Amino acid sequence: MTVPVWTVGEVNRRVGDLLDIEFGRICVEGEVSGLKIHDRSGHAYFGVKDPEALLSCVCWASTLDRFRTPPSEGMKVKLYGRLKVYERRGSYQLVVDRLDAAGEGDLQAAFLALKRKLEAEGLFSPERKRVLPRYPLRIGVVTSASGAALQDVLRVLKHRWPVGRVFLWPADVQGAGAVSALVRGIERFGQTRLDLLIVTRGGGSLEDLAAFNDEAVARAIADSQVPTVVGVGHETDTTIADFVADVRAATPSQAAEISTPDQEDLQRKLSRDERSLRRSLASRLDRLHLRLQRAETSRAFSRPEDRIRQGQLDLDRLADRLRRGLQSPTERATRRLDLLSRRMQREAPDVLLAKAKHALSALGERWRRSAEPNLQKGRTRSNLAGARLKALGPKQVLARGYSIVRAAGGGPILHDAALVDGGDFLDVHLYRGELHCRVETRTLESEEETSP
Amino acid sequence: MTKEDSQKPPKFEDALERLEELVEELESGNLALEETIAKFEEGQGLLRTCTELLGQAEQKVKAVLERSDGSLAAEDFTTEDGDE
Repeated sequence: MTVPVWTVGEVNRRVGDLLDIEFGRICVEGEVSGLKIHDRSGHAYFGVKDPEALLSCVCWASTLDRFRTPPSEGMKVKLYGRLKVYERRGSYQLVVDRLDAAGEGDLQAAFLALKRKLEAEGLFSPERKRVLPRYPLRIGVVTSASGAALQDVLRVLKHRWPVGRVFLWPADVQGAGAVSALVRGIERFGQTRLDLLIVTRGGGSLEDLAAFNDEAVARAIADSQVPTVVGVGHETDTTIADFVADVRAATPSQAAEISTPDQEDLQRKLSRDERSLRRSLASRLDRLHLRLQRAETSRAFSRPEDRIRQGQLDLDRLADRLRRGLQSPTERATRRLDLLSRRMQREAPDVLLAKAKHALSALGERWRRSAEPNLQKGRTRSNLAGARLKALGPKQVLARGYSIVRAAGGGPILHDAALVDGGDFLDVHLYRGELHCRVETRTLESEEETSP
Repeated sequence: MTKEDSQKPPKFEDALERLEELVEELESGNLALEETIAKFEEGQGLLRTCTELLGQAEQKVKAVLERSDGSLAAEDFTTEDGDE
């Protein structure tokens, strides 16, 4: 049996393939030893050792940049990566793609555990999230008095929404006292009538952010009566506090931005509102004018015919009802029938109809006769409304020589002389000043004019 | 909390909401002339209030401290960088 002959390269390649298949991606725990960072390439070469053995490791410069904590000599680490064979020397090493400082992994695990727990309690649920007020005038900020985060928040607020007054609760955001300081601030501010609360700090390592991953801080935020925005660090940092917040911001600046309207937008909106107000007053007067025009045409000509037609319809219906009454089957109906037939002899439908037709044509005649003065009135009133239309506000109308008449002592504006008696006192508002008058006599409009 | 708390801030949000309401009512146009004028004037008043409030554009920052008796006190807080 012949033993196959391999080239050296083939052996190393084959070993490399086997290692990769056998191990896949692994995690190794140990201490960094013999760390060298290559001057030119920036790759890191080191060993990871435990009491028994040492394993060679390499970490490419591009990967190294992504680590939150860079490796250092003697550091306890968890390394993640794949085993690769260096073919030219037949040696193998771990190509590291992730490095966790010891304890950091524990923090990570604690973070995930707390996250799961609070999530299960429903603290992150969208239904709990409150809507932020649109125009917060009193804004509470819980953060370090000396941190860059505060400066960022104040800068944005100053530019966007200087109207909002800021109340700062100075609190350590990292270190031993951080949790209790944050909790105290959130609790105290959370019971006030502040419009909004911003809890914020700059970015940092997982350890720096520990207070924002603390259960007590999370619960304080959840219990806050005041809608709360949390903005921690740079985009990549998400803390438990972020999940509990009503609104989460990626940075302190963004927290300030999300929380406030832009005063310039608001100014523009107010001018729009003002224009709408003026426009709708003008169009109200416009419509008055149109109605008067319509009255001028329809009342004089079409309305009498309408009335006659309506009268005829009513009479037809009455006649129908009478006929239906005749067919009623019960005893009582029979009595009514007798009654009705007697009335019918006097007022048979056709007789009634003829009578009413006569009355209606007389009415129509009266309408036509009354049309002319009516028309005149309509023209005068429509001219008046037209003049009002040209001006915008009541003041301008007054400037043109019109006046507003009210019952004395701030009573309603008067439209109808019938509401005033001789001897009553009236206030007449002119463009400049007022007259206090007494009614001598009054002339009422005739009934046709005021009927609908 | 502080003495600021007792003096009620002008309800800016309410004023704006009322203003929006008035604009809508006036635009629907089903009002008598007196009402139209009254609402127009109310709207103008609200506009003045809102604009005045926006005019007070100077940022005010107070630092809040807890006294030993548990009450809160606010002090003027000046930022280190003063002018930008």
